[in-house]
Amino acid sequence: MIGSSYLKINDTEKLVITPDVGSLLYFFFDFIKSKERLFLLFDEFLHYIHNDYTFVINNSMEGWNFVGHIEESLRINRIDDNPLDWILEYTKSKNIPNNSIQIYTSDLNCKKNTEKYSHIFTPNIYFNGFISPIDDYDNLIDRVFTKKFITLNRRIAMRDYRASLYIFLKLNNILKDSYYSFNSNNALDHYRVIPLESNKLTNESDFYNESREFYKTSFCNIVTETYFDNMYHLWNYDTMFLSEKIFKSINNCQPFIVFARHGYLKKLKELGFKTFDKWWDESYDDEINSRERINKLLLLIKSISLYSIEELNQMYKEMIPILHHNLKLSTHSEQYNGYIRFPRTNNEVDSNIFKQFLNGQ
Amino acid sequence: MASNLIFSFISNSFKNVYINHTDKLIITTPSESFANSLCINENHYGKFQNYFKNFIHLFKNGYKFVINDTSEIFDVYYEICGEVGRGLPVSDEDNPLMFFTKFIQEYQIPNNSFEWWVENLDYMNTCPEVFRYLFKYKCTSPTKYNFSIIDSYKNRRIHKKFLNLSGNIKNNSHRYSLFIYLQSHDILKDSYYSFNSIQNTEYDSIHTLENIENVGQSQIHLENNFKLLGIDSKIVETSFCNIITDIWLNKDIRSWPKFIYPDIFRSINSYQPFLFVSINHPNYLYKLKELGFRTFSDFWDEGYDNHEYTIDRVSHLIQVIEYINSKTYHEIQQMYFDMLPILKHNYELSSNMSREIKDIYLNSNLINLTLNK
Repeated sequence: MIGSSYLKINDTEKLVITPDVGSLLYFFFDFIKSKERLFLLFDEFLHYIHNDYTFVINNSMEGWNFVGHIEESLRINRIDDNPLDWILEYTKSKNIPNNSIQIYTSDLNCKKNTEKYSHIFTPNIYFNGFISPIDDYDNLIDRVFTKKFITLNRRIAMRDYRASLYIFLKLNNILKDSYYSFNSNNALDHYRVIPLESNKLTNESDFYNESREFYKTSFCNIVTETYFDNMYHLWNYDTMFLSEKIFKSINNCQPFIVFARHGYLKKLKELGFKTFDKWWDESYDDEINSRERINKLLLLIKSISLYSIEELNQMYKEMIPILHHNLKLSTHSEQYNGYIRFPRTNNEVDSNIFKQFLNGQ
Repeated sequence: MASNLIFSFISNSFKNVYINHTDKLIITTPSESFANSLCINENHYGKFQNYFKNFIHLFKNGYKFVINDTSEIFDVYYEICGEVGRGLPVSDEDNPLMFFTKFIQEYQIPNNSFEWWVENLDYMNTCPEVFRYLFKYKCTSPTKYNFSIIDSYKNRRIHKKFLNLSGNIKNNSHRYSLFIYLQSHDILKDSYYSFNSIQNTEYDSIHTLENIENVGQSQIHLENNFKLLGIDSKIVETSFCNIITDIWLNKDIRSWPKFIYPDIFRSINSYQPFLFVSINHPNYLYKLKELGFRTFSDFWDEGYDNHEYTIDRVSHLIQVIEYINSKTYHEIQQMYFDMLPILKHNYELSSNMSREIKDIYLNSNLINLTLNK
């Protein structure tokens, strides 16, 4: 849902950025509704575009394969008119550069995934800005762990790998050494709701706000990313989505094991981050077969769980240079080997068109 | 909207019926849900009347007309009176179920001239009292699995501890989680198993039952109008315990928790003990016991079936699997022989259920009706 009529302005990079639209399907079909209304919005900011600004539709909260998603929706609803074509039509009709309107997304593979629309999609690193750097980053050596792992699994629906992880941790007696949440938003009511202990994170607004003490006192973050395989959503293929989950680990200076699509660690390295193959086997990331990948991940977790807290404390000390490197890259860099950080903005402009649409007109 | 409801069987489904003179039954084929095939038309009672007038002379001689609606799991009353998923209430006047009452009164035939067989264990609770006389519970799932290996049980030699069919993994997180655990704990090496073999997803891993080319669990044989879902008999003859996981269905289908998952009868009909975990509902084993079946609490902990939450049932079930897996093949072989009285009891009960249904059809004449449109 769009919650504001204020668009962000970045005068240095010459950008006009909408509030995050949540979902392109919602944006085009429920909020904008028609080509004419979209053109009204663009017209309102056309003078910016004429001054070399880029108009950004911000959908960085998601990393879907948007073209696949929209085409699937068009097919189901028997609609011929693809709203992405409206953008192409607008730039052509106004004789403005064909890349002067951009859709920002967190699918780092979007250039490959969006085919003929690739020139209007921009991948960006978004969620690193949502989590402030942990305050003990100068004193990591003083951390004393009481738990070996932390793993947050708010949603279970269509994420069966998280249910598998929970059962594995429980039956291998690893939960006692972990902070964890599971199905805490209760989307699947036949599963038990397990909020993070002493921290009833059941509210969407608490998304980024669990106590930092959990991170300071646990060794390793088992990150269960939004996408692990293609079991659901056939349209959502070949995406590479770095959600807030990985940055909760990086910005809290924790090593990580990641349940994600194969090649995720490779992508992190490509962006400049360092991973932990000096300490454990990260070949799970190369495993294309999801059933084999999850098996390797679970066995890796078990092998780490066999270390004592003292041994993990020692291992952590050895990792501190990497953790510092990753934190610095996450919080200070503007570029990640060709990928941009989501632009910082200072100014805002109130959009009359947005306001009208928000008021139901 | 509801005023235009009519049964589609007037023009389609009930074209072929069986007449059994021994049991004095006129019975439809065990087809897919009739309730689900409701259609909208006018003059609905008129068509109902025209159709059933064909049988007045039989009704007056004590025959019953049986709608065999046991091949589906839906709540018939809800489907008819809620208009399949739309939840619109139906007035008494428009309720097709009232047609039966009206017809009985109008033609002065016995009150029990109609029976609607359902496989919903809870029909007594979900159907309003006024219509309950019409519905009867019949468990026809046993007829869906037919094995010709029953004599082999006395000499059966176990080569694998488990049979675990996980053909459909999509939306079945309990099945997926269980499988992944068995894989990570090296229990699959002692199992026959399939994984995503029906490939209803783009998931990148497929495993079909070993040495069973083209005889996957989704293959359907038709025999005597009953569906028989079979796998190679060698698989069940040489594996000890069948780990059965049901499939997820929309919980809005109210009858679902009251339905015995048919795959259980794959085990029962093949003299195989089973473990069963449902994604949505506990206490399935209790339901089986209510039907007269015996389960395996003398041999392992069946408390796994009692937990309210799926995750707890799966976790507990896995502990039972690990317990069984800890046994040697010699011990398992002995356990199997110790179970034979239970397996025999279950098989015979299942066979009787099947036989009752099958005999009705085998002793019937197929009648093709020319229907007035």
